[in-house]
Amino acid sequence: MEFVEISGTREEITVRRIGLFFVIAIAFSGFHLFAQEFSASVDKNQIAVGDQLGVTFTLNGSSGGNNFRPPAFNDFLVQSGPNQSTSMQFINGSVSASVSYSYVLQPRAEGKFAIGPATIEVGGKKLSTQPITIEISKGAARPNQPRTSGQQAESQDVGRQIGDNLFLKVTVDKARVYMGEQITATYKIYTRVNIANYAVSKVPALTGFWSEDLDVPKQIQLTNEVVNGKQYRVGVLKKVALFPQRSGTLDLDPMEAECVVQLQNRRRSNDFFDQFFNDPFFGNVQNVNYKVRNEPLKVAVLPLPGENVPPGFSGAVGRYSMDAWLDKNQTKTNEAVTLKVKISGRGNLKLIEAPAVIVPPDLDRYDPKISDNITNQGNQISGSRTYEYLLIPRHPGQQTIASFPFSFYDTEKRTYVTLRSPEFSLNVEQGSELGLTPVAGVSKEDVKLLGEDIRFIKSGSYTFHRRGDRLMDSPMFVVFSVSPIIAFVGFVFFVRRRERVLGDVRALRNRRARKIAQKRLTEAKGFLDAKKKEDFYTEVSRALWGFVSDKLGLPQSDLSVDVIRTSLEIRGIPADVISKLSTIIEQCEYARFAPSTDSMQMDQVYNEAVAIISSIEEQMR
Amino acid sequence: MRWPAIVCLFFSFISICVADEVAVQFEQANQLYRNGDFQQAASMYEQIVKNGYENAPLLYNLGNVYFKLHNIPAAILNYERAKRLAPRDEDIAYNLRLCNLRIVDKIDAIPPLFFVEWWHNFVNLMPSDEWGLLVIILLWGVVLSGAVFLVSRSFMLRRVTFAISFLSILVCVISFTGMIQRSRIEQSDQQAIVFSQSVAVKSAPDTQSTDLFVLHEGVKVELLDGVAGWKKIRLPDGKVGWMPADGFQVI
Repeated sequence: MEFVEISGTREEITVRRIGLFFVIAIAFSGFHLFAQEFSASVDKNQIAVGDQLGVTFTLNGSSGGNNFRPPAFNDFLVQSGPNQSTSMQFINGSVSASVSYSYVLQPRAEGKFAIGPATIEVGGKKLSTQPITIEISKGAARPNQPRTSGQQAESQDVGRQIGDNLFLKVTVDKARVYMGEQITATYKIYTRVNIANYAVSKVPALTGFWSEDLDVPKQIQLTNEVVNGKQYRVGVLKKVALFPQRSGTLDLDPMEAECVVQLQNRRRSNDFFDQFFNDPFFGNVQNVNYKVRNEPLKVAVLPLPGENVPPGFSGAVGRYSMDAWLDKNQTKTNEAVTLKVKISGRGNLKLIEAPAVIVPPDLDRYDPKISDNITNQGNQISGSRTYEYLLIPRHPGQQTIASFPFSFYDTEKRTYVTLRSPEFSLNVEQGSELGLTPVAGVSKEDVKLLGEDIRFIKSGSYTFHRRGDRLMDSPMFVVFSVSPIIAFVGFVFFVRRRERVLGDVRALRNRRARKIAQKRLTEAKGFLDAKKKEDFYTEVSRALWGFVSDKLGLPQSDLSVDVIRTSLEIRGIPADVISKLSTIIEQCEYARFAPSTDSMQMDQVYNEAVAIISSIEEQMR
Repeated sequence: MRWPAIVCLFFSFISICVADEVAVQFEQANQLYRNGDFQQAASMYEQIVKNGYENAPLLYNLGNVYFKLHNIPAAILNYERAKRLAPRDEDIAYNLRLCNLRIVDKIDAIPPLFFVEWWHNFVNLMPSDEWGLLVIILLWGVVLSGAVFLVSRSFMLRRVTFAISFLSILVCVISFTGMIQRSRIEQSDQQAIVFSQSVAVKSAPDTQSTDLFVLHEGVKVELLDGVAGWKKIRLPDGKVGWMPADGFQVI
């Protein structure tokens, strides 16, 4: 059985709400332990009954503690809280963090009350705050709500009268869930009194959950339920699907409702239990404003199993199926294709991420358009979420979109499940606008050139040759490149030989000696015929001297009859030839200067000279 | 002089003059082109190429046909082949540049060192046949001027012929190097044109490996290495990756 706290206060029908209050954090005390400081503060120390009091417990130097336990606010009504806020600062590379838990309290009665110590565990250490004393005066701060002792007594009386005949209660369908698994929380009102009207004054914040309200009938349908042996009329105020976003113990915040309760006037009947059977229309009925709130409930959230987590898992929990399709398989360049991926089923549909669709780089992919079709009827959030990818092919060709996975944690099978899409193939044809593919970086000049045409074909008579026929591979290349070298070598050889021959003057003179001599003798013969005695002898003498000089290789200036005689002897010329030669040479010298010589003698000299030349030539060959 | 006769002899040898048959086919194809029947013209030009004949105008016209048929990669391939045969031809260079404007990928080549670039430009001045002819002409020049130098008695003439033969030897050596280099470029099967409309270049010869970049048809790549079905390629900007071997055609 569940225990229900009833907290109520009597107020005017018009609920006056205090909208704004400021929490001024004043550190009353605190102690330093490992640089962590846990302190309590209030916004004011003196308040009146009915006023609100802000209390803040601040943990400095750590971003989170465990096991925060607030003090028992016995003398106060908790109007709001705990409201947790975390702040972090990075200053010069060091991190300072603080966590604060704040409450808004309303005192129940006047007097001096202490707010007891709150405790928290940080790193195994237990920290606690100093108690704070609050002085609560009579309702002087609220002069428009004068409270008499009678009224106060009445308020206590009302509380007693209603007692456990009216309460709120929250139930969940399961108390231990995996992260992301759906819990259905139902807020119900239990009553044994007449309720004229009600209004939910504080909707639970449900921090740590993604919540989605489930449809409940606008008109509360009351059912009967027996709790603790008492029959209650029960109405569902709110039904909500919760998906825990983090693991650990999460609190379901209380819900508050203002109820207008019809109570029978006590003056009419003193019978305490009569009131439950009284008809308000016939009795003296008093409308009382009464605030109810339920007890917070804790839900244990387990983290998802860490083993066998598929690589693409992104937090989808539930039961899903996936459908994926292309709107067409044939397209043209620059004409869009739509790839739709529909994930339908039950679970945290709104939290699932788009599956990682990898398209070939030639397709431009745009961010998906997401459309949800989620129904909140029944106890489960179900429906479908559709991702619409717009793909624009930029180049023609066969494009393939690879199969892509979608993974989720199946809450029924308690395993991870991976669904795979089919593989898509897309045939892209060249669109109408040829060559207008968007190309980055084409300068203006390029665009101008695109408008021009290629130059016209070449026509005319050309020679064709076999592919691969090249000059340097042909034997002709070798022939024509080696032949000049050979020719050059041959030319050099020829020139050398010619030069050697030309250079050997002695040999040449030797060879030419007779020729020259004969030439001179022929000239001498002319003089002989012309009876020019002097010229004749001169010429014969020159012919002989020249011949011998050429034959011996000696210059004429070095020659004398004696030199000739010895030189010829050395060369093995017979002595009679030598003596004949010297005789003729001497005869010529004499005859040139003698007054007269007959032509007979001249003929003889000539014939002898010829004979001697030929005989020497023969001997010295 | 006997030079013209020798040059003529060369050409008659290396360009095994093919008969009118090929020339006639070529002219027919040109006529088809002029009439706008590009499809027929293409098959006719291709027939000539298939028969094993080539020259720069043939490949240039074939490139033009493919351009008219909107087959840019084939056009680029044939222009590149034509450019190898006639590196100085302005029309080929112009049309090739125009085609390269129409392909998707713009690749900024890493400029080589200036003297490397000069040397490349120099080597590409002539096809290897012309370099070879130059080598032969210069060799004869060396020989002739050397002969004159040897027999000449005149001091001036000897000086002039010596200078001529010395310069000729120098240029001849350079031409020979140019011929070797150029022929290496001509015979290279290390350059290719991408024919796949778009192909993802991978980090390894494996379909599962990472996509490095995407190439589209018409890009000129350098082939580096190969394993079964895959080729390692390098782009002019230095990017290296693997692509399927059926995605390109060697120039």
